[in-house]
Amino acid sequence: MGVLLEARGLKRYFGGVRALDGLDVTVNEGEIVGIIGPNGAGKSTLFNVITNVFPPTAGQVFYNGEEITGIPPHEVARKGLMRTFQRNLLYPPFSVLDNVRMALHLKSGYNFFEALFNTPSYRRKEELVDKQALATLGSADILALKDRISSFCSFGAQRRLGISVGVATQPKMVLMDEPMAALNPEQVSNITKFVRQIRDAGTTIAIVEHNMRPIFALCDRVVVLAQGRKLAEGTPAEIRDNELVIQTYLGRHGSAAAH
Amino acid sequence: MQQIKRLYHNNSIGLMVVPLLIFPIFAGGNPYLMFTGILALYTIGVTLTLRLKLSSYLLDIAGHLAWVGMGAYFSSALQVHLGWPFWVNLIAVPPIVGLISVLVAMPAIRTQGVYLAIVAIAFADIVVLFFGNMFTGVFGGHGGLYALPGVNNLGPISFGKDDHVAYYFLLVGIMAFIVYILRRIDRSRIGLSFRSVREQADLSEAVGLNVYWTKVLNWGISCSLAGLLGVFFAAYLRAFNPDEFSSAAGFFLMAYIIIGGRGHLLGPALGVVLFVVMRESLRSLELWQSLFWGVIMIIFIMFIPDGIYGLIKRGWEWGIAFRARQAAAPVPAPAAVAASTTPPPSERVGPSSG
Ligand SMILES: Nc1ncnc2c1ncn2[C@@H]1O[C@H](COP(=O)(O)OP(=O)(O)OP(=O)(O)O)[C@@H](O)[C@H]1O
Ligand SMILES: [Mg+2]
Repeated sequence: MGVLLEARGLKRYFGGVRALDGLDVTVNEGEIVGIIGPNGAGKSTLFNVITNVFPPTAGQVFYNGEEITGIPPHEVARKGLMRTFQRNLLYPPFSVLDNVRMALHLKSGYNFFEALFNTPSYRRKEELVDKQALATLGSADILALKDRISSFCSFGAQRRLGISVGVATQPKMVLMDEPMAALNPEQVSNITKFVRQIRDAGTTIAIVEHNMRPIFALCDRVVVLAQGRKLAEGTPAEIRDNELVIQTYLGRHGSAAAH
Repeated sequence: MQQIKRLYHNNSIGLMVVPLLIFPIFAGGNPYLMFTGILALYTIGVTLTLRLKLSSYLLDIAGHLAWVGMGAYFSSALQVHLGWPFWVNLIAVPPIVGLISVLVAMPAIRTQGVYLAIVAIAFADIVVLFFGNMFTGVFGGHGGLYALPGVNNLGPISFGKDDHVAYYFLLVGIMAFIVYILRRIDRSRIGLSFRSVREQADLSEAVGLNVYWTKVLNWGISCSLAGLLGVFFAAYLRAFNPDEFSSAAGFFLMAYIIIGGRGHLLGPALGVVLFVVMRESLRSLELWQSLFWGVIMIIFIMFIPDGIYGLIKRGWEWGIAFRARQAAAPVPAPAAVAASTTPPPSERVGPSSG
């Protein structure tokens, strides 16, 4: 079980705000790693810097044995490192199926002229993509909604779709930013199952969440951030009992959720 | 039969075929009507190529005619000075225009939002200045080009000055090609990726799409199709000057699109037809026309932002809903009553735990 993702000395400043201030994080192959911390701790910024939505102010990112610092986001995706967004980004006017078809962009492997003239080889590729899109929707349990406009779907279904868009290509690794935010307990437990199922299918996961119960249930390891630095790191049991973490985060934020 | 039905059903463009074919039958003998019809159709073509563009700013519209102009100037110059027949230019010029548009856009597309629109407009005016002042021996300077040779005869088909019907069907053919390309783009993954960038470029990037090149490709296709129409424009009119492609002229395009509506391919077409009909019937207003159009534009922007197409569509939907309500009103079925009293299942419960 080797290291799949490693951030070394990662810094990102926004003017005077030190969103990341010298952070080291590693994720091993096959793990689910939880990343928690108070609002503004730099969790989303960590994902944005890893995938190069913003370049880091300093530091390096390694993925699958090579340095990916500074390569553009679509190249990061091409290497098999996908992500989902905190605001659950979708293509609102697209059908559910088209959202996932777009998510399978990297699997489509078409060229411009064959797509324009609808050649047999293009149609074959698209059939394969559609098959995979349907399978993705099936495993997310939203197959029945495939033709519905995604913004007309229920909140919970949109969230499952957002995750499906991230994992449709069966990436080696996915970064999930608050996939359970604003869901009710039943939906949270559904998403928890979904996340576990994604890991069991062979995808390594780093997950940012404020919901402590599912994080402690899911994760092999938990990293706690505060003000752009690592406050603590350990197994869920260790983190739950860590005095510093209780003081700065759990105590104030989610001690009830943690038990 | 089934297929014809389906064609008509999912293809509102099909609705245009019949009037397009009938028009020359009753207008064929009247050169003025044919001339107006051809220019209207050409303008519809320009709005179609414009509609493909990803940028969401109305302002970029004003720069679009520059690419039509480039097609017109290049094909005229190639025809007059190098003797290239029209038919060769029809195939060769659009890719050249597309290539130039891509080279111009590559730095501009890196800029965001309204800056791209400003670059597009500025570029249109640079094009006008270029054709008005440079290589005047080839491009004719501010006076423009005139006495151009027009379309070369094609076997028995003659494209003389008065062969409006021949030009008309040539343009219908060009339009059919443009619509075919636009439809194919729309229904393939190319269109999906264009729309995805319009909706949520950050997500497209995250799923591995090269958003920058997608925008460049989109721009290049739109501009080269505009260039294709320019090749026709030059050959049909046989005379034009650089101002016809300026951003000022481009503001008329904006009027068609605002008045007709942006929601559908047919929207701008409606705008063009309405504009042409109104202009002809408002001739007596003379200079007051500009003021009239200005007021119309303001009214549309403020009160009818989705244009006439949007109005018709809403009216249509309202009609359907009204009829459905009328049909349902007299005897409400018991099942429907039961269903309407059950509260809809709400999934959005639970407080944010953030
Ligand atoms: N694009 C940006 N421009 C300026 N400041 C930013 C930007 N993105 C993040 N920040 C700042 O960086 C800090 C960290 O933000 P970040 O979004 O990473 O927090 P977070 O841990 O994800 O918080 P939350 O739990 O609320 O999502 C905050 O102070 C935020 O205001
Ligand atoms: Mg965040």
